[in-house]
Amino acid sequence: MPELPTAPEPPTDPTEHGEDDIVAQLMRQAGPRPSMPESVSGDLRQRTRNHWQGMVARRKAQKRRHLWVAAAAGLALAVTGWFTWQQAFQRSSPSPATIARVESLVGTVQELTEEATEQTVGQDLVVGQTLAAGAVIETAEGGLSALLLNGGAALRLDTASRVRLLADGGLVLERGAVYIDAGTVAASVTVQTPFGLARDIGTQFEVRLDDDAWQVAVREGEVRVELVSGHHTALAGERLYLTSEGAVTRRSESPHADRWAWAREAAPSVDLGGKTLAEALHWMVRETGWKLAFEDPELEAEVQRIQVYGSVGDLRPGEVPELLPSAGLESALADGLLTIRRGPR
Amino acid sequence: MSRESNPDTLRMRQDRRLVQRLLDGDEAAFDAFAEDHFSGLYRFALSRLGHDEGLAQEVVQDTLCTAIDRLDAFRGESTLLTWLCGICHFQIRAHFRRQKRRGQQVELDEQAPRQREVFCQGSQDGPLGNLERKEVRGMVFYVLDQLPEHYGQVLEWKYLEGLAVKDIAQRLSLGPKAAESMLTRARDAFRRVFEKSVSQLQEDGFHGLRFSTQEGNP
Repeated sequence: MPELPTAPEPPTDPTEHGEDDIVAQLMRQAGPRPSMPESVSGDLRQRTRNHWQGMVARRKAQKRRHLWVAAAAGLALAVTGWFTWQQAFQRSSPSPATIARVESLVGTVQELTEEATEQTVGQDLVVGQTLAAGAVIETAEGGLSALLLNGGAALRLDTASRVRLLADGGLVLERGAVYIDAGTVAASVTVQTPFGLARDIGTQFEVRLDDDAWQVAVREGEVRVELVSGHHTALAGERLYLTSEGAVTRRSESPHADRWAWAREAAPSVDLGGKTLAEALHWMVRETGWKLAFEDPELEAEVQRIQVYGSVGDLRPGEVPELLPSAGLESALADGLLTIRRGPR
Repeated sequence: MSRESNPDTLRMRQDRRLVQRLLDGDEAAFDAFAEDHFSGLYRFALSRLGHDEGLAQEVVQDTLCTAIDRLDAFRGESTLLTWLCGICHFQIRAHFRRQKRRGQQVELDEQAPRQREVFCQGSQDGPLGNLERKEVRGMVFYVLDQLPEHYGQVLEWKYLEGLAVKDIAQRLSLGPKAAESMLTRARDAFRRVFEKSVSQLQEDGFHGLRFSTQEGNP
């Protein structure tokens, strides 16, 4: 029970309601709010201000580019006839194509410019930013990133990783690890490493680079691994360990093993408001590698009709089961299989 | 109470304007943003991280940077502080998941799940019955940080410093009647936000989500 004042004072003004005043009780029980140390406050403010100023500058630069493009489009329309005539005698330089979009960021993730690469200094990425072919993206220690490639595949970078995006939709893994979910509709993605390349065949897979070796792990589908010495196919549930000399070792790896956790953590959040529970569960399955089972076929059909509504901040895939009790359902997870049942009435 | 004078609505409107000004690069808006939100966010993180000040600072920094990057996604359906605390909540969880992956022993000090259990038990003594002092403290601080303008401050002056209404009026350069009116509004706002927080935890405790069938019956 909350402690009551031992020597209550009689009310002296209309806003004092005596001992049973719940607001007074709560306030006195809680005591004063702790203040932030001055050193912390100053540091937080300065760093956040710097970050905010960077964001504002990028927004303004993007607006200027849009205006420039709009103006150029107008000019092009006005001189179409002249341009067509000129085209017979000139070759116009292709502008870099947009190859990917930033979907989510954790920690420090940067784009390294050509000039900056040697000094490893780059520009912080922002969510929603588009990237051109040739972009070099690097995550710092503790950083994670999720990008959406033009062909529809999801690309995620693990901590301390670096990739170069290619015009054909593939990438060069220069350091660390990437996870790719090409799903069922995305174009094929090729990952090049110093030791060989991995080409997906409609799948979810990881490529990890060590000092003188690399790994290819497949969660779903297949991956063709091409080496100087030949090629290998990695199947779902396998992790291939490959040396720089081309030696290959195969090991089993569950689609829901802890080693896939970083890819889940890097995934962009999804607003499930307006989606069905079935869609939420499907998303969960793709991200966690879990299998899904229902108590009976009727329940499996029922979840297609249950709709989620409300405002969701940042729901993580592994947290979807926490929604089930609100729908009168319960679940149990064992060895990567999530079984959904009706809850007790 | 009219919609215009409802403190919740007032706060959310203020926050929407503030966010727009931040997106526009208004320096004064940044100062207001820091002044009004950083302390509350820090307290939120501190209470959930075992009062580790260094870790709280790190998590709050990450939260603020993430929030800045996503500022144009703020819809104003909650207060800005609630939105920030939501991001902070997941930064804290991400931190503990990383620690766990590195094999480090961690102690989770997340009050929300425990409060959820407590409120769902339907305590006969009301919301305070089963709560420990630190849980009440966390809730009260969170509610005070959500209140608009000087409301939290006048409540602390009144109930912690024991100031009379006339002294509060003097501090705020207001007449006694105006100060009395502000104190009444502050109390009402506190009760409303506190009860809302309690009932949200009682219903589900998870982002206020509800389910309905396609027929639309919750």
